[in-house]
Amino acid sequence: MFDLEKAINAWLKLFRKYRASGDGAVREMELHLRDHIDDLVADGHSEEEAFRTAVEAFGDVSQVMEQESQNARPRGRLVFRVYQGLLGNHFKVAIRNFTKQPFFTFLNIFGLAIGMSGALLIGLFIYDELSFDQMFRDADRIYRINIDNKTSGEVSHYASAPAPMAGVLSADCSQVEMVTRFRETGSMYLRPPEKEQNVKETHVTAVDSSFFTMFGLSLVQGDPETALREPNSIVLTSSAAKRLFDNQKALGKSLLVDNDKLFVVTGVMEDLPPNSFLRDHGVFISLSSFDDAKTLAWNTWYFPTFVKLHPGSKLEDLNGFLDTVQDRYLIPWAMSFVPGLTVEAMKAQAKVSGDYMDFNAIALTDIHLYSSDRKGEFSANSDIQNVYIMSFIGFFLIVLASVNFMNLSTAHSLTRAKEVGIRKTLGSNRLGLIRQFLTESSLIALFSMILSIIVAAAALPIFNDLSGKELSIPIANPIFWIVLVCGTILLGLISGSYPAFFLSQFVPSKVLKGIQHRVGGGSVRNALVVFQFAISIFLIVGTLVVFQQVNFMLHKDLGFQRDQVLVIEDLKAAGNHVQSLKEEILRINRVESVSLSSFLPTPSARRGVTYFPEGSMESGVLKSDDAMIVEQWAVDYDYINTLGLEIIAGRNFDRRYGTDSSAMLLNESVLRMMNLEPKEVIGRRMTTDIHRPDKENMEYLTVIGVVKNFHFESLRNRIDGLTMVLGNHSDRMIVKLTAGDFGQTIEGIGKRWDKVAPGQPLNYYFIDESFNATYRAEQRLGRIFVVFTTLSLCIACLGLFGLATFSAEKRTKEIGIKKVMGASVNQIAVQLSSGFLKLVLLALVIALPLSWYAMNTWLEAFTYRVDIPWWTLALAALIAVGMAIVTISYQSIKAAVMNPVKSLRAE
Amino acid sequence: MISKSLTAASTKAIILGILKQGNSYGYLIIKKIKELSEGKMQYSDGMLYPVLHRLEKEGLIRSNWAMEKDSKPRKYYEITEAGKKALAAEQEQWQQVNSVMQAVWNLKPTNL
Repeated sequence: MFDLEKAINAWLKLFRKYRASGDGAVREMELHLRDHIDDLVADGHSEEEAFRTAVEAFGDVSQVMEQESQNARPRGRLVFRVYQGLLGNHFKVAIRNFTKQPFFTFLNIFGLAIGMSGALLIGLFIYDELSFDQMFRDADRIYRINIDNKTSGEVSHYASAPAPMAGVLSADCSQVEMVTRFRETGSMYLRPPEKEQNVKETHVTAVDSSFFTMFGLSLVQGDPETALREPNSIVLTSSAAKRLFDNQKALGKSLLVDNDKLFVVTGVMEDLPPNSFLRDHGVFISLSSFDDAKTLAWNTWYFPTFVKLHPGSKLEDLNGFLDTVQDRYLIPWAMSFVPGLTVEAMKAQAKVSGDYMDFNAIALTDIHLYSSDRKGEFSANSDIQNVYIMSFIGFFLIVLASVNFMNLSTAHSLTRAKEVGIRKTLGSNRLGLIRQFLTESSLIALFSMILSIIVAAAALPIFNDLSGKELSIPIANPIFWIVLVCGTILLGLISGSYPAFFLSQFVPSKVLKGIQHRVGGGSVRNALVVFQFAISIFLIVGTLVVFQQVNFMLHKDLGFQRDQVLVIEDLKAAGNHVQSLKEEILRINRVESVSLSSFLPTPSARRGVTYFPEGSMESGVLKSDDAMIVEQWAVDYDYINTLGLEIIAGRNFDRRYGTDSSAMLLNESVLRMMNLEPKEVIGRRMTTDIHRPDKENMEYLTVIGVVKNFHFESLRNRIDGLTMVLGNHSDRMIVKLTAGDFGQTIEGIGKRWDKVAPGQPLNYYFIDESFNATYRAEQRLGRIFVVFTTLSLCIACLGLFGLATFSAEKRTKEIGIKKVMGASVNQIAVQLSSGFLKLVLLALVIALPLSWYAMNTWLEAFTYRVDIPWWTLALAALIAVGMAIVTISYQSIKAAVMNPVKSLRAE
Repeated sequence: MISKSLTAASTKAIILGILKQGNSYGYLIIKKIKELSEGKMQYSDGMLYPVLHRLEKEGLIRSNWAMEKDSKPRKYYEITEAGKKALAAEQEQWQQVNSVMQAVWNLKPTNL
């Protein structure tokens, strides 16, 4: 008996080995055959006859399908193929899958988006860090001269060079094309002469006339060639010009500098970019305005010097020349006032003492990241270490998010196993399936990208605040988009790769029969969870340690009084009235004591001098072994009391002793250099007066007291040697207040200030604010750690939540049966959670020792540091486990309290 | 009987022409061609489908699955604006071929 359906099915099998082009092509042809058969049967043919005729009329299936496959073959271009792959059938199926599983899709997109927005922000940060000073013309050929110096065991690094260095380089170093010198000048008061009110410009520098040519800067007004050639010329940035002249034209106008000298504005330039070393500077004065610009003295270490090399010249050649500078120029200069000095003698001495003086060069574009701690930098620099730390965090955020994706996708594969089975049965090959899954993961990544841009844009102000930068998302930059989209698709492909290969290997016969009820890949998933939590734990420990160190630094007893101490800046504005102002202020309520000094334990003036103890002179020559380069601060009688410093031997300066004008105090570090006990040192004499020709008349200072060591530099550094002498030129007033409401007191100070310095703004701050600012970098690092730790913990928990949901779903029946058999809710919840908790514990075992080691390494950069207490690790563990329990328990408890009748009946 | 290659060359114009009359599905289209050619155009029915799919891919026609009451689902094809333009071009070409042929048949034998 002929069975039409059987015959048609057999005929349809002929199509199976070919790939159909669109959906339903085979179905369409089947319907054609059936239509034809129906017509033939209606004409009176038997079914068998009709079938044969119709099949014959249809023709050779292989030929038809060959034609079809010609159609299906993508035509030529790659773009078209991508379009086909992404937006064709795969795309449709992908969207269908997403809408079928909204929660799962949301978890995936959200997790990826968190990671991506973090990485995006970090990427912008790193890009900005690496872009510093690249905008200057020939930036790759410009170098700065540095000094590394060691005298009496004290190492110091300078970002500047002696004044004659520039002349020597341009005259005698053949690699050098051009030299430009700056000169540190600090802040200045400026005003147009006709105005009363001064404007304080904090970032003023003097510079050679070659400045604009050297750095390729153009002027909005004025001629860059000549602008800074003449003495008393001044060039302003647009914003400085605006501050000083409102919106009027500045070119050609006069400016009174420090109420003293008249300068002429010879040029206006655009503001300097925020990622340049000159970003803060608004006022440039011609270097020729300073007398010392022409000096030939090699002890003038305050001229930042930049050179531009000829194209093709090498840094090594420049450094090679710099190595000879000491012998060729510096020592001959020193010989002119130290009789009997020879190059050989100097070298022999240096060998014994280990002291050195080394000139070297650093590339302009390296300054921001590789020149962190030098004296005389133009603006605060960063450190390449920050870039590494941030790259590390960014990379791991992305990895975490990607891992999350893999985990959720493979865990969810059970729901898709059937789909895979059916697709394979219908003739999909493995490659097609892999393509389908990769399309889905790329799409998810693209959705996440859009979300992450929104999140990053929203978080950018906060991130800028954290990082102290002015970043923005470069929406108009096509390269940004290209990198972003390519990176996203790459991320999608990588994240999708494991799930794709994992899913596509399902064997249809098993899946469809329901044998493959268990989803494999469990161990990989577990490893990934361990990995995620290990990273999160690492970051938690990092955060805790950074905060402890910052806290330690902020609250350490520094050896001086830092609360309720007010500093008034820029006393020079008060002219000759400083003493009377001091006495006036002393009379104000709540003012305890007042001292005059430019030198503070927080960032302020510093002055290093060379001391020789009495008796270092041997037959008219000073023994340079005995030299000590230490700080010398000019203070007054009230300094010690006002700052609450402690004298541990001898006495403070005293008005009753007329001889104290040639007396000095020193700190314990100097004692250590001299190898003396506090009591032994009192009465010893030292001199700095070594440059006079008549050495027998050198003036000596007598040690009258020893000050207990106090921290006057960052806690990153050791406490250096420090001496104090009486001085009367000071630019700061230190006012110690008693506790209470300072408002009135400050108002009172303001009134008295206005009397002696009319028209000058009163600049004041509390010393603890300035102190705290010293540790801004560490505080910033701490806050950045907090943000990214939170992000990574979020991602890890999202992943865990997804897995817990899945696991609870998978075990619904098992839980139902257990409950029927009498298991309690507690038992079940614990059982469901314990599996995951084991993973978190394993992560702890891996991450805790690693993080302990890494953070100890970080702490080693600090001379004064905390030990990592055991509870830091315990707290990190507690946070991780706590978060994990909260995440899992919701699902576990939900599953456990479910009515078993429901779960058992459900299937 | 019309040769295979000529059949193949004219299929595009014929399909577009039929669809211009109104929407139709594969089986009906081929039935119509057979009617119009009075069986002189020899087709394998199946070969129509690759052509339809190609035309669809080129955007000259578009398709739609339709379920009518009491009948099988059918995939209906409809000519697009581009298809109409292509048809006009085909018509012109065939007319040109035709006029060339006419001219050729009317040539008188000459001795060169």
